[in-house]
Amino acid sequence: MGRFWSLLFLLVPVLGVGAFVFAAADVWPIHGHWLPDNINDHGGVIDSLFMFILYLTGVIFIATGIALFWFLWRYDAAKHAEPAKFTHGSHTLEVVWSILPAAILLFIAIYQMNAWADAKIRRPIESSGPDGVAGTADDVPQRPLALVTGRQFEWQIHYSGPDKEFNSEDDTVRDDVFIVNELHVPVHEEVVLQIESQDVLHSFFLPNMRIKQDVVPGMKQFVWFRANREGTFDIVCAELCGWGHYKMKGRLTVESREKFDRWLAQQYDEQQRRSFVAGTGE
Amino acid sequence: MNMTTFSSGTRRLSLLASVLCVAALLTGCESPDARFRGNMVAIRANFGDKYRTQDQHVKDIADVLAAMFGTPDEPHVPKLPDLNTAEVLDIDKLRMAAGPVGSDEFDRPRGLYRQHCAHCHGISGDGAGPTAAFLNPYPRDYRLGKFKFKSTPIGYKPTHDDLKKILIDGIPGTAMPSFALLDNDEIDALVHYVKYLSIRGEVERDLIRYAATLDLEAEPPERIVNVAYAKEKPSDFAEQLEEVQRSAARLVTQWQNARSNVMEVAPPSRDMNDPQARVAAIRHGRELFYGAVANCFSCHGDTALGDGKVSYDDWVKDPGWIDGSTNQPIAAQIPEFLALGALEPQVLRPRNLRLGMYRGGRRPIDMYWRIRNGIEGTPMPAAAFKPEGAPEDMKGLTHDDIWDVVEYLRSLPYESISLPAPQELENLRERS
Amino acid sequence: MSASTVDSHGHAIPHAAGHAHGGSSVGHFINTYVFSRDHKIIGLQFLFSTLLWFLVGGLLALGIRWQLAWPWHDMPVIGRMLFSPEGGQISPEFYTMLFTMHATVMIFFVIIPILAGAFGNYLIPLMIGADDMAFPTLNMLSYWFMWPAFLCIGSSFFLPGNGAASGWTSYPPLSAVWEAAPGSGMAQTMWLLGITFVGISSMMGSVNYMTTIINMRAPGMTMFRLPLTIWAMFITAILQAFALPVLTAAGFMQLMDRTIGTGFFLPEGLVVNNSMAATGGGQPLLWQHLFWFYSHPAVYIMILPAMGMVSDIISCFARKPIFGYKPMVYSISGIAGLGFIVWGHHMFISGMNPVLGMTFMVATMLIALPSAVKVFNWLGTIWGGKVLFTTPMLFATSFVSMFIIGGLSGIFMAATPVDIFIHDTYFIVAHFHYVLFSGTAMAVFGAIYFWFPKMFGRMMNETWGKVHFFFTFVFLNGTFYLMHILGAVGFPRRLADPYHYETFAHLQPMNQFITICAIGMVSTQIIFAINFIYSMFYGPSVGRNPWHANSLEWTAPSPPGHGNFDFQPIVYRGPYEYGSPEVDTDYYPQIQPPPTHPKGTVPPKHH
Repeated sequence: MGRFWSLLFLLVPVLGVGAFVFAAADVWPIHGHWLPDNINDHGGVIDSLFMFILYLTGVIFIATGIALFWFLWRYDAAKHAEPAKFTHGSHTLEVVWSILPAAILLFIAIYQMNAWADAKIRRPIESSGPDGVAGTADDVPQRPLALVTGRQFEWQIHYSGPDKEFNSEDDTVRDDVFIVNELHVPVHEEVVLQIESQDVLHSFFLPNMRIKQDVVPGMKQFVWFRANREGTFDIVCAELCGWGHYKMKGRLTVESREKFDRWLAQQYDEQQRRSFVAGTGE
Repeated sequence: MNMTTFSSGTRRLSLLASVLCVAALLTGCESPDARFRGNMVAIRANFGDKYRTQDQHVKDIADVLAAMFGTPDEPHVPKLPDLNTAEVLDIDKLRMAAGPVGSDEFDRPRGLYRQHCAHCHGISGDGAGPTAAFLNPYPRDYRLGKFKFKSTPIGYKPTHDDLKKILIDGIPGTAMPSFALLDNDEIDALVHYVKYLSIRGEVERDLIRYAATLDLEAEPPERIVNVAYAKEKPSDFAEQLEEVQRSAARLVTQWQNARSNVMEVAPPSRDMNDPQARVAAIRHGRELFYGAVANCFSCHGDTALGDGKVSYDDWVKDPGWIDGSTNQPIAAQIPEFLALGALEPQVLRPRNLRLGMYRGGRRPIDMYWRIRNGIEGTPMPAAAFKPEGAPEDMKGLTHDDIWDVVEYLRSLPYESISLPAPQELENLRERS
Repeated sequence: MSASTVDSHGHAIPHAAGHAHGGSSVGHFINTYVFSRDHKIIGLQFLFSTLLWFLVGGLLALGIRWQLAWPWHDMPVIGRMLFSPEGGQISPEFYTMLFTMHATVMIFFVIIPILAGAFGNYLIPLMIGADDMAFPTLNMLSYWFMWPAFLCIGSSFFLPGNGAASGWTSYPPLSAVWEAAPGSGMAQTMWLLGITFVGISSMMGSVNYMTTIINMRAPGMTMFRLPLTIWAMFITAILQAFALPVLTAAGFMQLMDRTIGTGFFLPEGLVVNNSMAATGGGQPLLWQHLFWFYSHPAVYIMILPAMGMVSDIISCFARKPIFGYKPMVYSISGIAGLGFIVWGHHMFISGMNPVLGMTFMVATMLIALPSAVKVFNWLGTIWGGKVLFTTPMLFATSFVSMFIIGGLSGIFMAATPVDIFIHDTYFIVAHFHYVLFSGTAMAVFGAIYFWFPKMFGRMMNETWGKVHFFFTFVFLNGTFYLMHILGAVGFPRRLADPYHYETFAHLQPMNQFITICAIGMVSTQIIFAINFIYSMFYGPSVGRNPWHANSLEWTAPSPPGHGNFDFQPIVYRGPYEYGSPEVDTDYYPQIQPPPTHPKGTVPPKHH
């Protein structure tokens, strides 16, 4: 039976790697079981880091899996008469297999930091500030296109409008637009969104943008992206927010600047509706 | 080391194991059918203390309703002569919304109501699904046939588009989310199904009221309709059947007429996009808000924070357990009604107008309708309307007065006291 | 058990099986089996309680799987019982309750107590050569304080909302505001009380374990002659003692937020579901920090003892000393030390300052190192051995094989940019199930098969044990492996109906496959249950040392009587001297004195 069990353990790396290869190759029977299309100019780096770690861990997975199989197969007591090697270990080996993984792991950690900073720390700037040098403290951060507020159980979207200010109430500009669950953004433009929560924790997840950020009541946070393709995509809530958590679906529409402006103007007009004639419908 | 000796008793063990596996497989294969729940609260309210002896009525009413409206899995559109019921209740749409969640042979969705609505609004549309008791405000009970946010005056049914708008926008400040992302025909199907549940529920209430006029203890007992018997000899139940038909026909007609009852609204005479005109409108609206005619502040509070009179809405009052003199629920009756399926009485607070949260819609037209028509089922009354050309001394709000109040309300969330207090900013961590 | 059985080199002392008890036979029964202060009885009480909760947790998991495979279809049994007017279709808050309680039960009532409570209690005195724990009464209380926890959390199922439903992490405001969710009412309060009682129980246990291991070791049992199981238990106890107070304090803070209107975790003016505005002034993220300050070390509390037991089993059935004993000890300690400074990796996208995320990423990457060292050492132990494929060995080997997967998938989450995408997806679900089920639970199965003869004096059936292993192993991989693939698509956790998202609509068939495997996996445990119960009464009786193992517990009678040893054990060497050239047998018990003559001149003494 030793042979049978050894082979069973060999199946782990074989089928394990196989499953990922199948999924990544996007072949029958598991179409579309891989990272969803990335439409964010800044998202590719996350995909390539994912793949980098996948290759690295894949190699270790195969190596250790095969070693385990081979030791079980080779040293099966029923098949081999020679006595066990009486050894308490090897200092050299311990040093080697401590330092090597440590180096690799530290490398991964340091290698990722830039991507992390780009995704979460270095918000796009509107201008480089008085000193004219980007990357300094006086940079003017880009103002958000819209405020996305999570509430049980929908995404409320609040466009700041042309003046780029939320809730501005000087009497000339009242251009804010309020929408639920439908977020439209212009394509090929750096977009900053301010995200907040009205009640409990939610998480603003754009699978196709590789963006996820929990929203916390009492805090405001920002996400940014530059979409490179038009189309409609899902907005998902990724943090448990109550019984209707699964319902908290929004739709992200990426469209050209003209279409976006037209759509926003349309929404604004509807929002300012002050008359009703029967038969016109909604 | 000899491990083989440990395998004794293997055979006995395997026998035991197989017996247990078979036993496990045999338990529970049949699934229950969803069913409409009778309106026991209305029975209790109409029959008073003797409601427990009305089992025959309860059963008869259920039979009649099943014959007319079918079941949650297999809805029917009631057959009513001289009426185009399909206009209100389209059977194809109903089928799409009814039944268990899934899809039909053409891959069209089925069971939309149970997927999206039933856990709050209940299989029967009684606003008492499993989740309902935990929500504030409670989900709507369709069976009263009353809807709050609509373009028609109190007493009239909402239009198809009114209901659709609620589904699309949701109701901010409540647990009703937006269903904007459903396909248009899915939303249509759900609206039809809501109407279906509402009509069914109102017919049920009519039947209960009617049953209260019949005497089961008479000889022979006066029953609503003995459905099994009536199929063979309808003439014996002519009067009752007519009563049932009349009730259903009345309701279908009301829903049909909703469109013609829509309140048309002309735009304000002021140009609200002109800043100066708007400032004037807001100032005038504010005067009206605190004035004796509109009297808004008596409920919405001196500060418009909604801290005025607390009351109950019609859905909470429905069982008749609110004492008119104290305006409090009668404590002794509460457990009994709760056992029959009512939800704990929940108070209704006037809206806080400074939050910028508009349950019935944030468009000026929506707010106009709410002020002009009132909000059905709640203490929010229709404005005393002063039509054009009315005598000078008539008390009331003119068309333009209402628009000015609307403009004032729209400005409230932007007043400095409405904005978050400055010390709250300590909680905010802005990341640059 | 014969009182006169004395090991050839042990010092004969009166056997304790006939320990005199005063009072009636009922009182005797209660003292011996209910309010027992004997560490072995307490260990078995923990074992039976946790195995029963394991069943509950498994059934809750099937409920989750059912909904994910066939959302809104009538759920067998439970749907008919609770949701018959809805046609057996469960409500969404019931689903949130299912996964909350599944995790709560599995973590607090199964994994932690079965490792520390059951095996810790049973093995520590036996393996260090003590007659009992240092504080037997405290030990008894540590078991009986689990019962208020059982009752609190059990009662939460019958309160409005059918149980706490804000996730096992209980993040405020969802958990702290009564109106926020159906399960956030009384059910959540009972949940918090339950967790507090679990904490008290664990604290009593860990104080006891530390004291016992430090003070009660047999003569000659130096710290570096301790079996790795004991080292792991020791480090676990330290982890618990230092991390638990934080959770207990946090739990009380949340209780106060819920009951007396404090605002530790609630921002000012917070309104959820039209609740009264919170007085607030607090921060929801504070809870996450406090919670994970305990619960991250708790992850190691849930795996270190399993690693220890696996080391013992592998060494025994490879018939070879453990490879790198001291590096193993150091890596356990290293995991424990680093375990305190990595909690933030649960919060990379929580809104915590992203600069902090970078430091936590480095610490988290480094904690993978001791785990890697342990895996290499296990492989080194098997290398060159004489592998016996017994049931415990199969489970222990599968622990290694599965832990590799669980460990490697952890690197994805540790990398902050990648975590942005896979956080709160099925990738993380796959990861921690590979560590906790495929890792710890498999190790626990192995440990049960391994120490069963010591506990009950009878063997479990080997053939059925292997059948149990085979199907569990196959089904668990069928269940959990594909979750990695789901995670790569971004499939989020905790959604009652994920398929209305276009991105995830096509994943339903894979989820159905996973559910079928999960049903198979749970059904397979019937084999284990029957084997376990049957063998307790009818399994073949065995002597003291059926596996020919070295450590001290195998020199005590099976099962050991009150007071454990019928002689005073004296320890001469470490526990892993298998295949030593000093003796002719392939094992060399810790109590066996070294031969006075060179090898071969003295006839073997052992039976």
